[in-house]
Amino acid sequence: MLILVIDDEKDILQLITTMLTAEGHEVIAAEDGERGLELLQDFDDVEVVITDLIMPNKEGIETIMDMHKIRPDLKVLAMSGGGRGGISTYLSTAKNIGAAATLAKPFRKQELLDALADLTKR
Amino acid sequence: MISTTLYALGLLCRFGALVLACRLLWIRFSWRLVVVALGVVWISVQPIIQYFFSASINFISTVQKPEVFFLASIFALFAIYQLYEYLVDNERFSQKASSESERFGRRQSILLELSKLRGPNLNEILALILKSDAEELNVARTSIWLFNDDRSGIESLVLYDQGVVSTEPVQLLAKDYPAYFSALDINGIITADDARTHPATREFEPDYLQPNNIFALLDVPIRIDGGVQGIICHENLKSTRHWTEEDQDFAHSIADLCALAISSEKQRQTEAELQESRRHLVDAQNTGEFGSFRWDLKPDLMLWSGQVMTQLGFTNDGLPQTERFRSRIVETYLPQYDDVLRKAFKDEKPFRTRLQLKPEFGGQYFEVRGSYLNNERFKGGCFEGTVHNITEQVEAEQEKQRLEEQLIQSQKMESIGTLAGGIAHDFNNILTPILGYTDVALAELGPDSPIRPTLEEVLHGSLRAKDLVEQILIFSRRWDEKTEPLDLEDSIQSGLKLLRPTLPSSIKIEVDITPGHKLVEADSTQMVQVLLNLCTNAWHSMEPAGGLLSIHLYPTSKNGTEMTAVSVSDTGIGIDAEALGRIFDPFFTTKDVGKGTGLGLSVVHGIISKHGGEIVVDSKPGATTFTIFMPTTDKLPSVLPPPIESAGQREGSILLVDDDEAVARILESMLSDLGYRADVHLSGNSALASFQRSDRQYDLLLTDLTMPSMSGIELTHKIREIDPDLPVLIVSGYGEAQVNSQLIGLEHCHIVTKPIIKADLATALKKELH
Repeated sequence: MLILVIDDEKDILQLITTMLTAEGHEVIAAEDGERGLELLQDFDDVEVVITDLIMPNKEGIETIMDMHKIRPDLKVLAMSGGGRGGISTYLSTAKNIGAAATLAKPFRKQELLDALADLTKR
Repeated sequence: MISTTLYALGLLCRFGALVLACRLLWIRFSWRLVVVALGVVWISVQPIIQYFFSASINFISTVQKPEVFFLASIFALFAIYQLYEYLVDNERFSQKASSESERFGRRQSILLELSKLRGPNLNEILALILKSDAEELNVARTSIWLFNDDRSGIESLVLYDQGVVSTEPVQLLAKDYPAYFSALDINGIITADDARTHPATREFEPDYLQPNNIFALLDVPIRIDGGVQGIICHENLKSTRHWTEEDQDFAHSIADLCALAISSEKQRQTEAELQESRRHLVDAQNTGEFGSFRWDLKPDLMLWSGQVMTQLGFTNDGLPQTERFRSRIVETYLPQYDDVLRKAFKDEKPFRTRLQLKPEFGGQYFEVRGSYLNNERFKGGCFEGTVHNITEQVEAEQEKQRLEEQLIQSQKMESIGTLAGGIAHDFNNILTPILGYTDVALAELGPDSPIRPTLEEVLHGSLRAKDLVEQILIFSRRWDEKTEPLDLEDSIQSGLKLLRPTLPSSIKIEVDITPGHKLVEADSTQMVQVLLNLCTNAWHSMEPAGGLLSIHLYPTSKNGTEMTAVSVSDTGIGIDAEALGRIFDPFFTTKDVGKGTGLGLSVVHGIISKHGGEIVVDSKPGATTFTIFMPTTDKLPSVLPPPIESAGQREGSILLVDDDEAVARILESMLSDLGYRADVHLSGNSALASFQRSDRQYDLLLTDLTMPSMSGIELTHKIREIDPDLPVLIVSGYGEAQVNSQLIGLEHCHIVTKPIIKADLATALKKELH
């Protein structure tokens, strides 16, 4: 399955790529929402997008909404390390605007895989 | 015989000549007697001597010269008259003598009486003096006139006119009567026997003397402090008059009396004014809470006024003032005080310093302002200045400072919240690869790899860090406050549920719930937070040895108001008195850097105060108890308190929907524990499809509120279209409180808030299904 991962932290991009490729997935990575949208338009076969919420240039919530304009059925997993107001506020906002699943940072490998499985099962 | 007769005649002639001389010389009557007596002795003795030694008889030769005889005869006749006066007319003579001495005595006694006059009204005294003056000198009018301040004229003070007293002021200007005023200047006294011809007074004739029928004037000066300040004027009507020396003497004495009366009245007035101004000063000083002082250095002498100075220890008991004053001042102020005085002494410049009394003397603050003076007036040098009670000002300043600090604190809180959020974000991003790669690495290792325990330590550490960040976020979080009737027992249970997994096994927990406690109107999340913070503090105070954490919920009353109290006690180290006073201050912490934020108790205090409650702390080593008192409410809770659940099986098939599978599974297991059967779905669509197929086999819908594609509300509406009476239980997560209002329109719809506690779920289900 082709998965698009968006996060401004290169370490995290690298980690998720490592985790997912180990599970046999293909991963393309973007460092912000802007680049993520470009990649989504270039790769029609992206099935799942995993995106961070707090990012420079184009933050996650906006990115998710823009992506759904292009691909309304796109499955999005939103992840966040939180900020003022706590992780849950960001994640529930993401959920409210259409992220199918959420993941709070930091996460275990299994948590990522569970979230992904939950997402694709739907 | 003849010669003896002649001799006697000669004697008589001489005696007569002597008396005549005395009369011509106006020697006083009493003195005349002495002179005559001495003359008689001399005259008597001389002829006796002549008689014995020369036997010449002067009278013979005298008789022989007719002109001498004539003269001698006159002398003799005069002598005979005088003798007649003495011997025959003795009575008349003594009368005359006595009238003269009587007048003298009377005038003396009048003056004596007048000098004794005292009274508050100067004019009355002066009128009495003028009356006596007029009567004694037998004049119709007497008056007192005083010079103006610029001496341009005189103004009448009191006028006495044949028994009538007037104090209506009349003015005479120097420019109108130049001769009179220059005579006053030059002579002082004006004795005008005939006022209409006297050079000094004739200018009054047409305007004054003529109309008032005045013929003689006697004006004597009133001298006060060596200068002529006014005059006493005597006016004789109808005839001219010779003002005798005695009259003038008396008039002078009267003028002196008036001067005395006027100057003593002036002094009285000055004294009264001084007293008034002093009283005014003291009043002003006491009202304004300031005092003044003058401290002479040589000799060491302190003059002061004002109650403020008494507060500083100054009294009139003669003991050393400065020592006692210094002993009352808070010692830390003294070096600065001495320094300021020294500087003022050296530079002769004004100084200003602040002092505080020791608490036992009232603790007030004072500002001392003054300067060092060393001039002609203060030869030895002195400090002169004021002392002002500035306690209110200082307290206001302190209050302002306290408020500013509080503002800074709350700004700090605000920024620490922002900071915590930011840090949490970054920290979580840092933790993500650590935790993730550790997982990745662990997955690649065989179960027996020697590196596994090491990596598991990394994993363990990362998870602890993750927990810590979550804690920080709790502090920085803002709740959407929502008060409702609440049983604090639920808050205790929720708090313990969160706390238990983190407490080390060395801490034993004891919960004591006294039945009969009332509900309180509070925000449930905040109450859980309060209990969590108090329990966490209790736990930390018992580290590392551990101990007993006891929580007691009981009904009580405070000031006649019903209260529900929760006490959290520990057996830890206790809190010292100093820390106890500041324990609710933000950022106050006794924990080591990194171990506590110092926010916990201030958050607790803030929450309890906001709810109208109170928190008290009692601590000694080994026993610290925080007790919160919350006002009670008689309102019924929207969620009934959980009954004690029996493990009995319940009938009921539940359609369970939650997009979070983990949550769904937890709920499923809870429901199963409670004896319900659950059909689990992870989306609204799936649940709706199942419901459509089921033909009303479900007794209740339990759904998450926020779900992708179809929300809990949407699902409820769709299912209600099929079965309008189906009970619905909606699970709402944190941050969705605002959504609740939208749900009010839904009937048979109950909301349970995450995190879901089995007891809550049981209560809600029981209420909806039975």
